[in-house]
Amino acid sequence: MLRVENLSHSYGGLNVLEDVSFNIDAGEKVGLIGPNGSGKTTLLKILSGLLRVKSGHVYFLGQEVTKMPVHKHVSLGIGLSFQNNNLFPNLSLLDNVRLAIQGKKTYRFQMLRPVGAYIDNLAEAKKMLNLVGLWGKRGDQVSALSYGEQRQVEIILALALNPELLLMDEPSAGLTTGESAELIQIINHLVRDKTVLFCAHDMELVFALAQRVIVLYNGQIIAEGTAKEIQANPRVREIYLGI
Amino acid sequence: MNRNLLFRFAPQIIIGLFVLTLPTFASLPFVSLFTKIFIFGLLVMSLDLVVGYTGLWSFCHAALFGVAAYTTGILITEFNITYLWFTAPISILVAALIAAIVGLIALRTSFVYFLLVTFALGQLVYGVVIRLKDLTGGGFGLPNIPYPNFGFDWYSPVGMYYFVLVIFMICAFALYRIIKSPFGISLQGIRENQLRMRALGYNTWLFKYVSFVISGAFAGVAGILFAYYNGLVTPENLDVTASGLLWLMLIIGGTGTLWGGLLGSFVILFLQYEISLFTPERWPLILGAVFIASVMYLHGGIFPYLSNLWDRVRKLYVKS
Amino acid sequence: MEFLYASLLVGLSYGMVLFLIAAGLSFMLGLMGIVNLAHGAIFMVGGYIGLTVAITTGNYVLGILAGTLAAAIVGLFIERATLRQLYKQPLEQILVTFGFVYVITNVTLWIWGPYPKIGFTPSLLDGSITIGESSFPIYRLAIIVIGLAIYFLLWWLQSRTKIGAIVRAGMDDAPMTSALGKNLSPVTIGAFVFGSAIAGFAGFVGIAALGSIDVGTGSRIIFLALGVCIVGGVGSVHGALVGALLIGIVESLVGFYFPEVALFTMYVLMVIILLFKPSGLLGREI
Repeated sequence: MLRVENLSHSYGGLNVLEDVSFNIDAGEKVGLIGPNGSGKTTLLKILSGLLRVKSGHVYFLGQEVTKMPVHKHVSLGIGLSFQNNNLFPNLSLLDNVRLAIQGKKTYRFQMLRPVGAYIDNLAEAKKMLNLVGLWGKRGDQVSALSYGEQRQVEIILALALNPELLLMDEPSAGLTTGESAELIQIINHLVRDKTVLFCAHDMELVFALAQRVIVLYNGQIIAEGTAKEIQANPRVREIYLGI
Repeated sequence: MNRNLLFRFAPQIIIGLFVLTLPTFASLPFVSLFTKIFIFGLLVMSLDLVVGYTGLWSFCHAALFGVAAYTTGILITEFNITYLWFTAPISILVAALIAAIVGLIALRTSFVYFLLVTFALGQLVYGVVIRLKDLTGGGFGLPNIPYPNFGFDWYSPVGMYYFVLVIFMICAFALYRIIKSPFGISLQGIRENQLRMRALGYNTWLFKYVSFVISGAFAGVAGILFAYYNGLVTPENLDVTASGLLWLMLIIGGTGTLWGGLLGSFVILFLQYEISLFTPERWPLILGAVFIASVMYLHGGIFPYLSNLWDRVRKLYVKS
Repeated sequence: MEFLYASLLVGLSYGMVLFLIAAGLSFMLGLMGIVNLAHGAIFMVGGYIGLTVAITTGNYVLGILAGTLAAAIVGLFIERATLRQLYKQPLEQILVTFGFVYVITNVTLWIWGPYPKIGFTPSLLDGSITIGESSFPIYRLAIIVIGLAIYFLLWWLQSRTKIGAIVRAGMDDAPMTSALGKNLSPVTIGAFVFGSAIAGFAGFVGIAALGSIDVGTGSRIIFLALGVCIVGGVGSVHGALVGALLIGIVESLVGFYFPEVALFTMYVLMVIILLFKPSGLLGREI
């Protein structure tokens, strides 16, 4: 499904990524780990189209997407959730989700009928919000929700696009252990039949979710394998012991 | 009719009745004032579409209004084309065209720089209008624009008032539908978080551009109405000072509220009317002071405040 | 060929006038990220007050001092009374300065009336010198020298002094800079007051070059200043100089060959730059 070849990117003289190559098959759940500054977020940004990579190629479903703008990536089926809560603060929760749902629909250009008339959109929004139990708060302004709830919304927005490949940047960032555990459950349920590439610092999340793990260090892939294999990998242990 | 519904919309109903029956009890100067209020109300509401809903700080809106006014005036006085169904579409088209060109240039920037660029481009339009003396009358403006020709004799301030009112209501309704539509909510998404919108698959540039051009078209409608109402179009109607005045009306009324535009127009034009009776020369000074005070202390504008007030009154009444 | 040289010289001196006009705005915008739409009005205040003092006392230097000081005071007032409370709200800051345009312009009209006033040239710089077959006013040459002086002053201020470094750091990351312990506030005030002072200085010195001053000068000036900033780019004083000289020289040359379209030169340059390099010739993205 996803083929990454020789990605190299530098920023301000620093080599952020060096000759990164890997593949992801449909339905796989892959975790991306590595210390801070190893290039995880940069890699996700490149894959989603938010960042133009300096050299290398990305192939999605057979098509080369390396130079395409973000919205093309999205229409082809790549979704991204951010490390920070990147929502629409002054809009209601319902509107937030509606925007996500209509992102790939042609009626988003419609100017004559009110949003409320699109009942499929509303039904879809209800389904998504019910998954995290936030349907009751749909009228609230998103800025009024708690951090943990906003994080759930963040994931929902990316999922509402129904992406083939879901990219998640530190999904449990800033959450307490309790909230984290809850989020892991929710994510596990929501992404059951999707392909996921996520990066995280939270090892519990990685082991709970990932079938395969890629380890990034200083912009290079230094290890790849199942969660168990990575845990036992001496090089990985060496890197992480300092953290 | 459902009693609750009647009560809930009481302010709207009262204002509606007031507006519809105005000429029966108000003096002619007053009717004329309210005609102007609706024209500028429409103009500011169209500005709100780009500023309040899309989040673009456009400082050239008066220029779009002005070119439509000038087009109407020129078509009538220099080419003798008075047929409204002809002059109106052309004027709107000209305004939309200028908006399309300005948008192409200005939307390469955003926020503060976008403001500066539209500021400069607005002044550019002003400069061009002044220099094309033969066409526009230069600094003296374009005088003697008669009432629109409908085929029957209706020339009176009262007739003009209702003409403007009808057009206003149609356009206000159209704007209302636009902001409530999927397109409208997409604009608000862009205002709130453009990056996220892009990550959700929206071509944000396109949405901003379309919004800018549409608002230009509505500004054009206001321009046409103004040409007929005022009988005279001058370059001062489209310079940055005029654009700034629109911003003031929008801030006072409330950005992102649509009807705030009409409210702001009412407050400023009413103030101007009253104060000009005593000290017309010092009006700009007072206007400037009001501008500064509003920017500093009036967060969100008067309309949301009144809206909340009415909601609270209703809840109190319902409880008892 | 001589006409070409004369044209270039005219363009150079006009460009320098433009630089003087734009310098204050560019300084504030590039270093502080503050757009002072009242820049033109402050320029006008410096001009009127400086002129009044110069005419009453007959002293050019006193005129300069008065104009510069008056403008600085106006700038200080604007900053303390309003801008200070709008920290981190760039849109509100710009709007407030725009409000002051109305106020200042109307007060100026109130005090000095609607009729234009002619600039004051000190006897030392009066008259003209002949270059080949054309004569060139000495004052215009003086403007070139004055303009260059201001340019070097701003360059020095910007790159050498500690203040310049703090402000540059502040622009890039204000919370970080205040976290590091530097108080941005006196720097912000200083930058705004200094920018206004330059505007006032240019206002007085520039009248004689522009010919006359009236209440409409303010809005013409802000447009010219913005044009220079858009063409030359914002971020350093070099942008203002390059933009100003480019506009001045091109307009003068165009005026020599195609007089009818000369006045549109700045508009055309602005649009071209915006289409191909929106941040200006030497600018950084704001």
